[in-house]
Order: sequence, then C-alpha cells, then structure tokens
Amino acid sequence: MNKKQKIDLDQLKKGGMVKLNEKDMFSVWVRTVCCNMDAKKLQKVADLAEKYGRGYVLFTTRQLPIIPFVHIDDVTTVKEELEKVHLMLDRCGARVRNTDVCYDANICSYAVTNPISLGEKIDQFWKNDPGGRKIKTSIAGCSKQCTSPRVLSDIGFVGGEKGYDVYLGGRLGLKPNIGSMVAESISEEECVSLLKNYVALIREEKWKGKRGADVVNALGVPAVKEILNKNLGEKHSEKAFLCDTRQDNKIEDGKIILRIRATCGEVTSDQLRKIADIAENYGKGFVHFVLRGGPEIPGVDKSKIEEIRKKLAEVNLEILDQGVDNLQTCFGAYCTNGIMDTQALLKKLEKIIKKLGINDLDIKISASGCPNSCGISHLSDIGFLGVIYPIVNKKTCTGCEVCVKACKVDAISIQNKLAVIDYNKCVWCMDCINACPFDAIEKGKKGYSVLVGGRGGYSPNDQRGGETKLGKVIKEFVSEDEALEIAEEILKNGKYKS
Amino acid sequence: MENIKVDQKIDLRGVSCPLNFVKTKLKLEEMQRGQVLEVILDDGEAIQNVPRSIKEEGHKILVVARIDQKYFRVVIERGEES
Ligand code: SF4
Ligand code: SF4
Ligand code: SF4
Repeated sequence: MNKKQKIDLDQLKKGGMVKLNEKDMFSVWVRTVCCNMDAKKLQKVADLAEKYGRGYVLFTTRQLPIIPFVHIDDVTTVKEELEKVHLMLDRCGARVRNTDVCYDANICSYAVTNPISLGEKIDQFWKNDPGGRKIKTSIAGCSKQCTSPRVLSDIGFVGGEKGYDVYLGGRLGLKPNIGSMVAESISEEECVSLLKNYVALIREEKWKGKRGADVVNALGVPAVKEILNKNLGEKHSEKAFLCDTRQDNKIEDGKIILRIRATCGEVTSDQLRKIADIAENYGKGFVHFVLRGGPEIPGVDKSKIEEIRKKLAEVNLEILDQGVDNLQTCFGAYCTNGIMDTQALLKKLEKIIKKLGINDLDIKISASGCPNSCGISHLSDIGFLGVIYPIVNKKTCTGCEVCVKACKVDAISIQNKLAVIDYNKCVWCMDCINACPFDAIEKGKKGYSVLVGGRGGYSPNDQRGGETKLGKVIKEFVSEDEALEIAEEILKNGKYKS
Repeated sequence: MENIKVDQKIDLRGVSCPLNFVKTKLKLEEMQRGQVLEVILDDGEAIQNVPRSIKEEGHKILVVARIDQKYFRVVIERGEES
C-alpha cells in the first residue's frame, strides 16, 4: 500500500508522463527550454534512463528527451531526481505544450529573426498564464521552417526579413491541416499580444476541447484575423526570462552545427553521455533537440569533425552527414495507440537505404504507429502510418456510445442500439477498438498507409521546391514487406510507379 | 436498471485524465475480487479513456450508461489481483 501512495497525483494532473502499452509503464517527458539541454542535465537524464527506464532515451518530434518505460511507482523518484538538477517534467494532454523553437540567430546562419528571443517571451507569457487548453506553438527563424510551425502548431511563427508571419490552425493527426496566415511581419511584442488574444478566444466555453484548426474552420480566416489582431501594440510589462543557452555573440567562422543520426530517435544512455561529453568539450556545452529526432551539437569546429566521428563510433553513433535525413518515428510499438511496429519497419528500411547507397540528406522519411501521425508522416517525402480496419460485433455491442465519443472523425453512429461504422469516413485509427469497454469492435486487417510528397517547410536549395504540403496517400493497408518495397522503388526511381 | 449489487461508489465528475483513471485504479485495489464499483465520469475524454484503461488492468466493465447530457455511469467488477 505504501508503494501505491507514492504515486504523485499532482504530477499526474500536470502531465509530463504518458502511459505506454505495457502495464504500469509510463514515459517521462523532460522539459527543455528553447529545445536545448545542457550537458550536465543530459548526463542526469541518461543516468535516470538507465536506472529507472530501459537504458535509452527517445528523441521525438516534441523536441525534448523522453525516458520510456518508467514504472508508475518510480515516476515520483524520477521527478525528484530531475529536480535536483533543475529539470522538470513537461506538460502534455489538454495543456499548453512546450514552445518548439529552432536556433538562436547567432548559431544558425539561415536565421533572419531571433527565435530564441521570441521563445523566451512566449515562455514567460505561459509562466504567468496556464493556458488551460491544448495549445501548441512553434517558432522558426526562416522560411526553411525546421520546426514546421505551419502544420505542427495551433499558432506558428515563421521569421521573415521584417518580422514574424503568424499561422493559425496547424495540426497533424486524423484531420491534418495547414495553418492559415493571420498576421504578417509583426514584432516579437506583437506576437505575444496575438498569442494572448488567441488564448482569450480559445478559453471561451464553446471551444472546449477544440484546436486552432477548428476555430479557423468555424469562423473563417478574416474573422479570426480581426480577433487576433486586436490591440497588438499593447506593451507587456513582464520581463522576459533569459534562456541559459542564449548566445550573445555570432558563432565564429568555421563552426558548425553537428548533427548525429539517431534512427527512430533511440539513443542509449551510454550514447547520450558521449553526446553530452562532446557538447561540453567541442561545442557550446548544450545539445539541441530537433524535430527530426537526431541530436544536434551546435558550435563545433569543422576541423574537429573526424576526431569527433571516431569518438562517436566508440558508442556506435554516426554523424548525420551522409545517407538520408534521420529516420523518424513516433512511439510506434510502445504507444497504447500503436497499430504497427514502426521501429522494426524503419530499421529494415535503414539497411535498404545503405544497400542502395543513397546520399541525399534532403530526403525525409518518417513513420507513425497509427494515423495520429505523431511521427510527422504527412510532412515527409515518404511517410508511413499504421492503419487497422474496425468491425463491430453485433452480438457483443451494447450500444453504449463510448465508441461514438472516441471517434474523432464522427464515423460512428448508434442505430437500433448498435454501433454502425461509416467506412467512407473512417480513417482506420483504432480509437474505437481501444475505447470499447466490451471489446465489441474487432480488429480487421491491418498494415501501413504509404504517403508521399509531404514537406514541412521550404527548402531553398531543393529542386523539388515548393511550400509546406501534406503528403498524399498512395497505398493503404500494405504489409511491412510491401511498404519496404514501395519505399525502395521510390528511392531508386524518384517516384512510385503503379 | 440492471440487477447488479454495487459495493462502492466514486464520483469523478470534473476530474481530468489521467487522474480519474488513477483514482479508479486505487479504489479498485482496495476492494476484493468480484466486488463491484460504480464510477461517475464526465462525457468526453474521461469516458473514452477510463473504461479502456481499467479494462487493460484486468477488471471487467459490466455497464456503461449515459446518465444525462454530461455524465456517464460505469459499473466495474474488480478483477484478479494484479
Ligand atoms: S502516431 Fe499513434 S502510435 Fe504514434 S505516438 Fe501518436 S498515437 Fe501513438
Ligand atoms: S463502445 Fe462498444 S459496446 Fe459501446 S456502442 Fe461502441 S461498439 Fe457498442
Ligand atoms: S471508426 Fe474507429 S477506426 Fe474509424 S476513424 Fe472512427 S475511431 Fe478510428
């Protein structure tokens, strides 16, 4: 009983832990500031993953370290241990998320605004205002949009020569949406005012459980624009807190951002300690968490690359300077919603890519265990989504409505006290199967949907060019083998011929 | 109403996820195998998640019934010792 009382109910309320698909197992989300973490803190995260998890940490699209497989009884201890080095758990669920940012303008040579500076102001704003709705924000310092603000955030800020362009209503998941532009070339202060206006709006009772995309769809862009642009000139008295990874000087010539490959975002504790060590001795003392999951060490001298390569090889790590971009996945096989084992898929695909000898870091590939697309499958040249076909068992269904509530695309209705699925609307996500308290929705066929042509941001050197776009499904319900064949064909020929 | 003897009740109206699940779980752990717990849950996130997680813990859901526009009643039978 004592053990059970250790469960930290307050922490559960605040979030920072997500249940995994093994009994009593949680993943612990560690908060980063500006998506950076200094080397000493990372060492601690590595140690905790070893002691209380399974000896590895996940680098995900959420741009923070996640320790998977912590037993519920250990969550409080892990939290206390993190606090000793001034780390805390992240917030998730119907709460404000971390603001995702790319780099300080003094580090990234592409940046035209300073995302860190805006990030600090927004962070300060959230400190004084708990939000109370699921609100995602992200910032990018240029049109390359490394954080994909137009799709991954309710409010996304994209830096331009004259200030930030602001997009409302980005969302992935079952009803993906590209955000609409609601403001152009505004200052940091104005960005905070706009955010404040949005928070006031989304807190109205009628928007409960809704996201920015729903607001845009319901009110239309012109009306939303008007609401969000009210009193933008208002001054904010809050003094912004300063991120400890802020850079006051332009990075020296010859220094680069060193990218490390972490297939499926998995980094063992030993590897993480090595990465932290390199950041301390060769970089600026911190590691950056990027959208695509590979750890990055800014401020490394070009001439030291080969030396670092050798050190990384000691723990089986590679520099991300050949092959395709980091192969990215969500929790996949570990997630309570996971339909397919994306980790297995990508590890096989990695071998195929090596065999083909493909060398184009612009090629982005990612996989998600289910159509929720947490692995940003829609924003990749090749994306995979696990899918499943639900079938109602008429004998066991009690007509209780739980599945109707659970279905996010309104594909289920109750007819004559029985659940009926509209397969024209269904997006094959398994929510209803999981939610049914009586196991009355059975699992039909499962497999992968393959998407192509997605793009998270604009890439100036890219022949494919173009703006942010969502990938299109080219095949549904293919097996792992077929998915690999399709990917191989696309990689060989540049497109899928069917 | 169905003919089920309820041993314990908890009212989790307004309690959010995953706290509502943990409270239900802890309550069930205090109970004996075969005993019956009635839980009142919010419509929305709570009703989608709690029955599912409780089922995964090895307990049996006997009834899920809407009370009114905002709340659901869930009746659970305590399962095997976990
Ligand atoms: S995409 Fe699906 S399987 Fe992957 S983390 Fe999200 S909910 Fe889980
Ligand atoms: S949740 Fe299950 S029992 Fe309830 S209506 Fe849906 S299929 Fe039927
Ligand atoms: S019917 Fe079920 S599988 Fe289909 S979209 Fe709705 S919840 Fe998902």
